[in-house]
Amino acid sequence: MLFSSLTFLYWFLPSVLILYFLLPDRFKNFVLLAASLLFYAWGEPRFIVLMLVTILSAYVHGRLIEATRGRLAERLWLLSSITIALAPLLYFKYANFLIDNLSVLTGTNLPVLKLSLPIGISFYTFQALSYTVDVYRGRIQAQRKLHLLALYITFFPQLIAGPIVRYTDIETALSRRSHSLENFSSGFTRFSLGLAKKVLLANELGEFVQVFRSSGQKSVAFYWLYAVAFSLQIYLDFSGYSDMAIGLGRIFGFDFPENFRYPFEARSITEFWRRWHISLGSWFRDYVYIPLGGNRVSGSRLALNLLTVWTLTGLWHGAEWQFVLWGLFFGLLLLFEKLLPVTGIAAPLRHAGVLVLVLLSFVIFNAGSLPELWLDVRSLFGVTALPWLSAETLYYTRSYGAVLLLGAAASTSGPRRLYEYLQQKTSPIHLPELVRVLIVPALLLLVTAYLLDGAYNPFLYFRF
Amino acid sequence: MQSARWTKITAVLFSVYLVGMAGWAALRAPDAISTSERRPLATRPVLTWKDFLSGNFAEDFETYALDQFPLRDPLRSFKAVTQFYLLQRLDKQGIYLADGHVAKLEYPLNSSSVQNAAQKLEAVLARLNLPQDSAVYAAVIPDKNFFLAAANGYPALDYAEMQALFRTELASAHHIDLFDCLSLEDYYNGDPHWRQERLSSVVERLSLRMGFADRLSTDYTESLLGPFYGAYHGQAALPLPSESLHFLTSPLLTQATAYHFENHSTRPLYDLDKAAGLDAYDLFLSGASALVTIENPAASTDRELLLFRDSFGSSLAPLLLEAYAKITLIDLRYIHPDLLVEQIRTANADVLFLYSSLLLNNSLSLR
Repeated sequence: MLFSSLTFLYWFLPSVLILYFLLPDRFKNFVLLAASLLFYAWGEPRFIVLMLVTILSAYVHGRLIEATRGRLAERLWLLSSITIALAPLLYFKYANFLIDNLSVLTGTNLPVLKLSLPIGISFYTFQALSYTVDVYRGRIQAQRKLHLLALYITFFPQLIAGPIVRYTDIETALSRRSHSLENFSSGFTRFSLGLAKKVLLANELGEFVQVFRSSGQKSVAFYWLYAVAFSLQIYLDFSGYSDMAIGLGRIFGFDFPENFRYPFEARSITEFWRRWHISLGSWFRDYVYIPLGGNRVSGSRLALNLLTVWTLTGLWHGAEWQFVLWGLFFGLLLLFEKLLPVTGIAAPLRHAGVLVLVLLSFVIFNAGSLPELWLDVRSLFGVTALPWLSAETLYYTRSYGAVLLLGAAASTSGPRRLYEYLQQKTSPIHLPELVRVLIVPALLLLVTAYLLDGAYNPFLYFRF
Repeated sequence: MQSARWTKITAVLFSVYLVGMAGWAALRAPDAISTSERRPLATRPVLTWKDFLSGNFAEDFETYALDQFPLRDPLRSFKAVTQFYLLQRLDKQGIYLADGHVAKLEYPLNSSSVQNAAQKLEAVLARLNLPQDSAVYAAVIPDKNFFLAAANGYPALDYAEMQALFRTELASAHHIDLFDCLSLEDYYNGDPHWRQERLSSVVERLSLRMGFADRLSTDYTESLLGPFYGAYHGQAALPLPSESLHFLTSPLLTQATAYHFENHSTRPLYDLDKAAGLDAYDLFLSGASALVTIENPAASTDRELLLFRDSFGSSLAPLLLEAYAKITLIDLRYIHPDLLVEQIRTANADVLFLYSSLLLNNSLSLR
């Protein structure tokens, strides 16, 4: 089920809220667990078995690791847990990638498998992995209650598009949490704003991207606008989903970590990745980069570690060579920044440089194939026969100009700072609160209107 | 930190909104059709284990939730107003407003589609095995974008190239240019179709080129039906005024009937029952039909016309009836040419291929 669907918004969510808040505390976790399983099973019931196996494996391995603490078996159980958790992900996500490349390498035509990727598998696998590794490291105690561990992994707000919540983030809240009108109100606002970012801005920008892709009159300017539009689309879509998850979590008494902090305001690539998909970056840092030695290694080993981590980060996003290149692109940039810090360059220049590199990265990310990637990058820099400008470019720039500007504004901290400023300046009359009371339902109605009218509403995370 | 009072107000308001709308959506009586979108609406699917496991139930339920949501039409308008007027979008899924008309972008020129159409029409001609004295004509009807798009800064297809290509590929026909016989006023504001009462220039051009000018003399009486909401009117979802649907009558047209081969039924030329349905333009010859004949009992000639057409032909054909003993209207989107040979007579027949530029640019549906 998608958050940006009427089934979720007006059938699932109200029903869950009513049940959750009407039933006594001892039933609340069961309501959330049942709701989460239904949420997952709604579109693809057959894959729920896979998720249940992952949960059961994490539960049993957590207990076994704890029971064999200090012995060789402890390591073997950890290895076994990692193998069992990763096996479905490797099979469903990477088997055909491997087969395709083997075919190319051997000059044969190996048959590909008929596989569809289970929704959210990359997210819940990483959550399950972090749980058993943290038990092994002694950071957390293994959960005795299976339903609580199941709730941690399946909890519907973060199940299919993150953030990748660590067990430590919600360990206490799983068994003991408080609810308040303030949490409900601010959580609902956060959810609604996230939904509006996704439906009113990201989907509209997605239409622009589609228009660009099908255009027969491309130009260099059109390529740059496409780069801007797609970068904004993926940010608003993904951060919108994170906002929705964080808001929903807050309504139910959970405090999820932030996943985005205005990444387009970054002044270095290192800073960009401290602001973009924070939960994924910190996961790779804690469970791959640091175990490999982190920064405290020789220069060549550091380079190897960085490139390994970023190749894996690219592959996490999709089993295609363009994702590998995307990851390596960032790996090289980060390595470059470590070797030659950019602090000496004026801040506006650094900011502009980061924006150009990030736009380029998302052009790589969104290419359908390696030849398309090569064509896109060359076209972006005018190394093709394309004109600099075309009539279509001008038409669609005019048509989507307001959406592009709104999207750009929504990806900065400007709206939040304006809200805080108005809160201070108009505190006696509570202008921002008044506006919020009016705007949130109006936005929800507008979102509903957009969904009703058969607009473009993709789910970008199928391949993640 | 917001005050406790505001916290309560927002929490209550949000809860009331969410639960209220959800309750309304769940309890309201479902609508059968959407008149603005001209389609039946989905009904609540029945939950079966098989459908649930296959994911079909989830898909059908979302369609139902979308179709049966309360205030569907006002909400569609809310979106359209936001897009057109607040966000200044120039078009909404191709629909745009210009010079008081609603139109849909048709762009760019699909040369292979035009070629495909022409080649299929040539193939039809070959199968019909026409007698020597048969004359074959072809004409393209410009869609509204010809008058609106380029003039208002919208992308427009190259109509000159389309016509040239069609002429080249359909070389067996004498081509008649209708582009200069029409203007924007000859089309409905909210619909793609032309207005029957404004086709005198088209009829005159055809009669002169096809040689039946001397067989036309009737003066028509103009009647109208309303309110008429065109196809683009519904797609735009904007609060735009309705129009009246005009049609021309005469004693001959009142007496004449249309025989529909698909269901072996005889209907009046102007089908008022159909006009009361989802698409009022179906008034003309009952709308989409594979094979229809209309006969002129008072004909002064034994010439017949084979009119290969799309929906534009339905409103034109009655105006040509006086000049022929019989007109056979063939819509190749709904009938395979192989079946035609058994159904139609070609002796004493003129052939006219009359297609809108919209169809030529999207000709995959032609058989």
